[in-house]
Amino acid sequence: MTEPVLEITGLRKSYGDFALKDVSFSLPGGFVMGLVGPNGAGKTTIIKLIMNLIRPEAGSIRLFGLDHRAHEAEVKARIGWVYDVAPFYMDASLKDTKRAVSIFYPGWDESLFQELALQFQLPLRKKLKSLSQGMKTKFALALALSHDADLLVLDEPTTGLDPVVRRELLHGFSGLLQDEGKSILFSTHITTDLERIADYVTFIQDGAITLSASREALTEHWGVVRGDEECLAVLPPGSRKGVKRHAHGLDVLTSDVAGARAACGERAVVDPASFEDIVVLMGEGGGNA
Amino acid sequence: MRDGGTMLRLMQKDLILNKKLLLINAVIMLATLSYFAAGSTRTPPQVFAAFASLMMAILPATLITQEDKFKAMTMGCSLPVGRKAIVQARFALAVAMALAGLLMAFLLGVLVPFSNYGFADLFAGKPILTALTGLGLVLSLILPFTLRHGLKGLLLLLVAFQVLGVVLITAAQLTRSSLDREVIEAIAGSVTRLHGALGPTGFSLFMMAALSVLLSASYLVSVRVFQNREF
Amino acid sequence: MIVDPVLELRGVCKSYEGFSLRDISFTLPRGYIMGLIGPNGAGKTTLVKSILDLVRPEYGQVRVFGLDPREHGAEIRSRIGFVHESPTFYELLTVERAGALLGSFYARWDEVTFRGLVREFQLPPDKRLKTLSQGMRTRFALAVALSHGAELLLLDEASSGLDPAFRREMLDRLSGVIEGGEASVLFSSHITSDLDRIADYITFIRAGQVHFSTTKDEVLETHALVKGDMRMLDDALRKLLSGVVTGSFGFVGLTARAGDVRAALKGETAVIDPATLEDVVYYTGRTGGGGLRLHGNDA
Repeated sequence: MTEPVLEITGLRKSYGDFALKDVSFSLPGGFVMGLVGPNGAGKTTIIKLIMNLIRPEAGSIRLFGLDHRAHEAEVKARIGWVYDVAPFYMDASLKDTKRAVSIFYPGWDESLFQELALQFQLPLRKKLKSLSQGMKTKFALALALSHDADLLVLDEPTTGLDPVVRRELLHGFSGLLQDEGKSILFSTHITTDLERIADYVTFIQDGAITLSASREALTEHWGVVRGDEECLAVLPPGSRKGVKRHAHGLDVLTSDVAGARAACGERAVVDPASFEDIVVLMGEGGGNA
Repeated sequence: MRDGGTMLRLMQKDLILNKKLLLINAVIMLATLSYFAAGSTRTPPQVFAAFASLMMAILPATLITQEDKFKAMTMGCSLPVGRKAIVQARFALAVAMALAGLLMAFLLGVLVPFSNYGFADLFAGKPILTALTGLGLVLSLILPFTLRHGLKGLLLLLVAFQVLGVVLITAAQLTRSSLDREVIEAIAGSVTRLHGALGPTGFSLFMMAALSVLLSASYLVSVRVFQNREF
Repeated sequence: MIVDPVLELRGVCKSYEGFSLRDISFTLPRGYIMGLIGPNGAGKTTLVKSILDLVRPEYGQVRVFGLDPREHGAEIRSRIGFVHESPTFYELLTVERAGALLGSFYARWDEVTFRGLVREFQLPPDKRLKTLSQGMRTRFALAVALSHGAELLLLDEASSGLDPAFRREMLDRLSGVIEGGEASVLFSSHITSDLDRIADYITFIRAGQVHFSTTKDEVLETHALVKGDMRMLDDALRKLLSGVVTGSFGFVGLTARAGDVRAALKGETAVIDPATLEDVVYYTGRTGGGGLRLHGNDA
């Protein structure tokens, strides 16, 4: 495993009735990690903490091996960011905004930005407020990608983008990773995007990490048992992660496919779990840990 | 080492993104002041100076209204700069903008047709000192409040003054005294006494020193409160 | 011939500067779900607006429940439940009060259903709407849309920004609604896997025109992904494919005539995989090159 570009330990933060509870995970350099979970689970809070937009109550964040507050300017020069709500001056033109942002990055590559603007069909002379949601995201992406960042921190970068752009963007991300060893942390609700490019997936629910694992570990060990109540009872202890009952029986999320196959035998079909299955079933109907 | 550059870039960023609105506001303010300078009744140069300094001290608030409207401080804080640099740049830009505006106002005050003032009236010790005092006071109050609370900070400050005024007047009425007037007279009196004791040059130096202390204190408070601000 | 269409468009045209809808025709029968797919800016939102009489076409006719939106706009809107991407409401009202106020506009408002949905969607009844997140606002809009006995639900990118678990719940609910038989759904989404799951019909809009409008089963039957060696990729095959990507792995492309490709490839060992709706949109709309180039030359 390569040196982690991002290492989060014991992160806590609370707002009113929401709390991030001891969040820890790390992303090794050169990989893509997807952050998934229900609305309001804490994905945006984690991203804001990484970007030092809010202060943690406990825990530490290390970026490229450095403390993210003590070395704020230094680490941020190596990060490209996209937020779910674009934080730009809506009265300013894209061109002016680009100029205002670009002067801060020593690695700014103007010709790359121009090329991205062309590929994304960005109307550079227009004001930001005239752009659709998807277009604003594309503009933020173009900014994030044009300064040779080593880590991209993206909060729902594909929301509002159509399938064509989305898939081309994901292809582009794969290219970035292959050719240049960049790393990406991105949150999304579109689990097929994760399936396309994520090497690691971190699942978050009610402010706590329920699972953070590599794609291989997930595809190898996690599955959905489609069976009946009897089957549920014989599953290996601790491997039952969520249950959904429906008219024809029940779906059980398991973290031990081999164990489930052995235990249920003919009584159930055990399918590999898609990322979507994990998000939808995790913690449902009294899963145990 | 790189800090100076960072500060300049932050100032440049604010100017690029706010240029149009800053220009419009500055033009409106300068036009108002020119009209005032050429008015049919001649107000004393110090009053013109005080009025100009208040207006120009409010000019940097344009930055804050825009930033607040678009929640764009998030963008500033995501750039590769420390929070302290953001505060430094905001102070530097606010002071520079206000001073430049003031200079323009004074020049226009002299040059506008039918002006009541000659060059020597405005560009004299008293009006300049009055203007700088007004500027220093308003900026030192506005900046920490707006850096912590955005536009809300500005409103908070105005409301606080309003409340202070109301309290003074009410207290004066309740005690059947002229407390309100007394407070103002006490301030005016101590300024006059100070002026008498120090002489014109000494007084100017004292005021400049006091303003520097005030601005520095305001800067230190701003850095502190801005470090903890969340977006 | 569809006997009882809930929605019928015939040759609808509308032009704006730099964009136009041309000759849009399709029909949605009562009791079914139609997915509306296509790239951003293809005209989906304009089309939805023409159904609500928020946009008036220059040519062609729109019929909703057999009525003309120009003359019966109000009646049509009262029978439609509309949810779009960024719903805005009376921001200062609480969920409960806003529901009651919106409900007062609908003759068939069902307060009991609404309260039930508020509970089920875990909406906080006493919170003001402006404090709700994007996902919560969409839930609220959906609760309203489902509480006034709407005969047609129009969902314009309504699921964007919603998490997978809630999306699944929403899809289940939509399936439940049409099972009752009376309601129909027109659902535009960039998350085409959701449409794979529930749509009966698919209308694909591209550059202001209907690329196709047919049953989902037919779309999935006629379309396929063809993968194989470069040497198989002759002119005859190329004509049957769109959005071909080539590389060291060979080629992959989409066909809308899976049967013809099978015949043309007789004997050859190409792989013909089923295509998802996302594949259909992606390969039809690809700009070429396979992906965006996101990095500089000096890599």
